[in-house]
Amino acid sequence: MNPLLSVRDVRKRFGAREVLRGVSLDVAEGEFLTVLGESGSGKTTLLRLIAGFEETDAGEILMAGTPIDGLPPYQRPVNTVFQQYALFPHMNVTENVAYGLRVTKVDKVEVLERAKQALALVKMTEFADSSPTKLSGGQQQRVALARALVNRPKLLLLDEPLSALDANLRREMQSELKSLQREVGISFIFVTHDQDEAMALSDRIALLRDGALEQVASPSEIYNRPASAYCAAFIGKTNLLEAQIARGEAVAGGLRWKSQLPEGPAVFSIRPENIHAATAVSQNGSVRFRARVEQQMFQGATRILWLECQDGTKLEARIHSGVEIPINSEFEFDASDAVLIREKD
Amino acid sequence: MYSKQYKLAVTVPPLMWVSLFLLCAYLILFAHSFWSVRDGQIARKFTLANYKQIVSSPLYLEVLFRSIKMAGAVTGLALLLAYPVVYYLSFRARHKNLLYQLIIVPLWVSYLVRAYAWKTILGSDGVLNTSLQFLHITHAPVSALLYSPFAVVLTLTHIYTPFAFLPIFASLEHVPRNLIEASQDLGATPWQTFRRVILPLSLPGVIAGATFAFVLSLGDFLAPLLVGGPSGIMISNIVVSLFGAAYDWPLGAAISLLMLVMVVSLLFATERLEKRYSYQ
Repeated sequence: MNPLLSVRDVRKRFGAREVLRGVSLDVAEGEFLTVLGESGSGKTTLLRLIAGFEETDAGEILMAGTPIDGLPPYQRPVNTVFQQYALFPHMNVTENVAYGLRVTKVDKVEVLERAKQALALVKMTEFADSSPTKLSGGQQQRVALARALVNRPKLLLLDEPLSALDANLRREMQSELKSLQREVGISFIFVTHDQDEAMALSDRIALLRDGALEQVASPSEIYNRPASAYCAAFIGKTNLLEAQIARGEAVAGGLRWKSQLPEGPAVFSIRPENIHAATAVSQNGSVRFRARVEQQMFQGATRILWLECQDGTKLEARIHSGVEIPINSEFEFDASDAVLIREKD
Repeated sequence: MYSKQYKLAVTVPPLMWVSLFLLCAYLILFAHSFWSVRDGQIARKFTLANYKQIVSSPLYLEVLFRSIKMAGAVTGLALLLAYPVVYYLSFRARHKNLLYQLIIVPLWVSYLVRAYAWKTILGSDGVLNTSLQFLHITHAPVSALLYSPFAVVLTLTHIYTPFAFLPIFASLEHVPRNLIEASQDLGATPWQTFRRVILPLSLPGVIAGATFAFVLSLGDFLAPLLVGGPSGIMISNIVVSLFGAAYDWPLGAAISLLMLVMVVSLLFATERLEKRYSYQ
């Protein structure tokens, strides 16, 4: 069966700048896919190509196996939630939501009925007659969602929809968005630069860097098995260790552990939460080292320690707040938590 | 903060200017409109005779209505000409600045020159008639071209279209582009997007442009003087002749005041309309 959306080797350049350099991506039915990347990585351009506001220079975009590249935006079976909501200021909330149905000439009674349902879905029924200009950011956000969902698209595109909201409201909308997506069962392509948001919401994350995909994987896989140093550093915090593998052992400065990997140079990633204060008895496979606590930062349940090993290697560790750590102490991590990264940079 | 002397220095000159050239002038006009002319002299005694004469004389009312009709025609034509050009300029054009300048350029040419230009084009020996005869479309000069309401409307449309153009351009440039994309995204065809999003959001500019075109052409007297002939006379020409050859300042003042009241109420009305349709 064909995937709902298939982006195949899409390229786009604006003048001299190549914004997308051959992006291929599949989105399954009912999937929540996040396109994550820094500003300028090309994520918004990718969304605009799918919506039809820009034309691809090369490559194909298919929906359920049918090319949609040639279609104008108004003929594509996708709808968009815009970054600044883009609500029509000269229409009230109901008229905004009903717009997509009105222009496609659905029966008038049905239009109102479906607009009402969509407003109820985002809990905005009481604002049906308000002007969108009088609503708060969060409320405008909900109206924009209802307006985009009313046409029952197969695929909803969301361009940093939460970036204009303050932190608390943002968290609230994140969970609502997630449950809404489950409820309607529509595929979402969600564009953001916020890695926490991406981790919290997505079935899969597509990490975009300078117009090319770095890794496409589930949040836990991209976190635990980052494909590159960039992925490891962009998604959560990590320690990158440059090691040399020889005679079944990986050596990074004063740290060494058993490794069956082929000989040669390699880069490993160790998440801060995988470094602990050493226990009395050394476990099989644990890598022990002495380090000095240079600085610490309290973060509630955990605290971050900046460690300097005797050979000068610097590491970050995340330790439970209750654990007492002397300035000079012994630490350990499990060799299996040192994840090999296919060095790309 | 600013000193008292400074405040006085900057506020007094403009206040003097306004009171001398506007308020005093209007007061004199207002006073005259209630006086009359007796034995070639202005009699300074209160009377409503001038206003009665305006309302009862078919001549003045007829010219007034004709002026309103002609100004309305100019307004309609100016909007019909300006809007598509502005739309093209704002949404499609590549050399926006150049085209914009081209449209503004006529404003730098003297009014008189532009009005005379139409005289040369429309006259019996004019460019249009000569061409029509040369192409054997007509065999004698078409005299209806010049010295007619048609000629006045044409000239005024040419002169005042840029005034309609400017506010419409400003309002179309301010239509948020993401609203247009949102409309397309929701399935609206280009025509539906224009009808339901672009046009309603540009209404304040259209209203402002229409007001400019209407008010300016309603009070115009040079174009009818140059290309209007007897049938193309407008209300301002009557005022001019009342203040001149006819030496009936009181009646002229009354007609002027009447026009002033009309225009000012129109300005108030359109300003409210503009506010009603702006969302910024």
